[in-house]
Amino acid sequence: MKHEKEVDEMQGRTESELDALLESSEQISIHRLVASLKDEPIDLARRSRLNERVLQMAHRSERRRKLFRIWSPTLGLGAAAALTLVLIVPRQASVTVTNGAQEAAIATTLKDDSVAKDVEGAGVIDMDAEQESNAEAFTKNADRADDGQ
Amino acid sequence: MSCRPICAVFATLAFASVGSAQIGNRAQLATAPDFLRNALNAGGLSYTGTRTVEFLTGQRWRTHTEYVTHQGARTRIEVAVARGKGPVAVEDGTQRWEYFPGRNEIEQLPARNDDSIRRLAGQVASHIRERWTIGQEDGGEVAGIATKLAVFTDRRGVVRERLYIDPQTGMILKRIVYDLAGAEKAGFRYETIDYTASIPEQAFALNFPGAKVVTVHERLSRIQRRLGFFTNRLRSSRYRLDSVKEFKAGTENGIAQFYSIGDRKFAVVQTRGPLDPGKLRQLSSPKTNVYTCQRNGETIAIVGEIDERSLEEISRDLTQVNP
Repeated sequence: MKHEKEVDEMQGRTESELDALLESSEQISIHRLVASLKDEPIDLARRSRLNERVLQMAHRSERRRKLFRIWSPTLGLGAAAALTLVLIVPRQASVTVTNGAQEAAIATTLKDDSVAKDVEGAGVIDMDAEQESNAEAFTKNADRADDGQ
Repeated sequence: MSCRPICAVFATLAFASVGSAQIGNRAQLATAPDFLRNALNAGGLSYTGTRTVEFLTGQRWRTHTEYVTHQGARTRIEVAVARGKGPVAVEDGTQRWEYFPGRNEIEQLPARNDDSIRRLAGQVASHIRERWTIGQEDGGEVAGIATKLAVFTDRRGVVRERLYIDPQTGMILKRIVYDLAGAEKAGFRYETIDYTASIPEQAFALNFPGAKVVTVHERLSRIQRRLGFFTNRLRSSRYRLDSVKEFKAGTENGIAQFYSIGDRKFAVVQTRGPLDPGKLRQLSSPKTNVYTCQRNGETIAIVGEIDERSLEEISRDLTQVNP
């Protein structure tokens, strides 16, 4: 658009005005700069190198396409196997808010056992196991009573 | 697809470090005082004695007196009770039998033999590694024998253990264990000791006619049935079931199965209802890890001083067996 506007402006000028513009100092300095540029012949070796690079890049992308064709089923199988493992393997129980009573009871039971075994060694006898018989007998008797009814 | 072979490989690799740790322990123990090293190698003694054992369970101190007979790897321990017969434990180096007169049953378990000495050796090596101070003092007389005292003080300056050792035999005649804050939590003391007593062969046999012999696995199944739990346990023989204990948390019951693999100990805990592994880890001893999973609506926690990945591998061996 801007270029068309400039052309229109130029067409509106007289020949003498255009000559004056061509002889302006700016136009002369640009003319000198262009004239000072050397004429370079086209570097065929460089073009050849560029062509080689383009060929190499084409080969590389072809190789990538082949690798992708080979690996994509393998990656798919791997992803499927990982998903299967995630589904089969028992999962960590979800984080839950508890009042801590159960955790405290477990921690105490395990610590007590560890200390007792550490200190007493061969001597440690689970004295609660002696009372367990009473609980067992009570359960059995209750079962019998239930059966009798 | 079974993942058991892979699990076995992982577990084997995970526990392969135990051997190298033992070599490391030997190097640490070489720097321990002589009388302490003697005590850690005094498994083969013969003696009879009476000892008082005390330990804190929850908020309650438990105290009992034991009559001990020891010869090499064999041990007999009778618990003194006010009236009638008390429980009796006998070990022959590989097996252990505990007789409970109340239920007229003999429970068959793996031997503990010098387990406590082996664990103590591991702890002493660990204390040396962690730059605890091992003080040597005159321990005074225990059971009529002049003792040497080893005092273990942690890096914060808190006394964590006292061992009163007979310097002639290496026998630990008194032991006091303290908690992190330095409060007493367990201990024992020999009241009498006789290294020259003649020990009859039948001392290491249990002779209780009519008593039923139950294995630790049978007892586990029985407790699981009684408390209405599934018969979940570790299937592989690599994991040795050492003992079983039931516990109560408020109105809920739970079962703790204590296992060992080599020198490592861990527990498989069966409970109902939700369990916060983070909270459990926080309440346990500092190096403890916890792995939890759900089985048949039960919450299973695997707890031990073992890395979490190995605990997860162990969880894959959990099987519901037919009792």
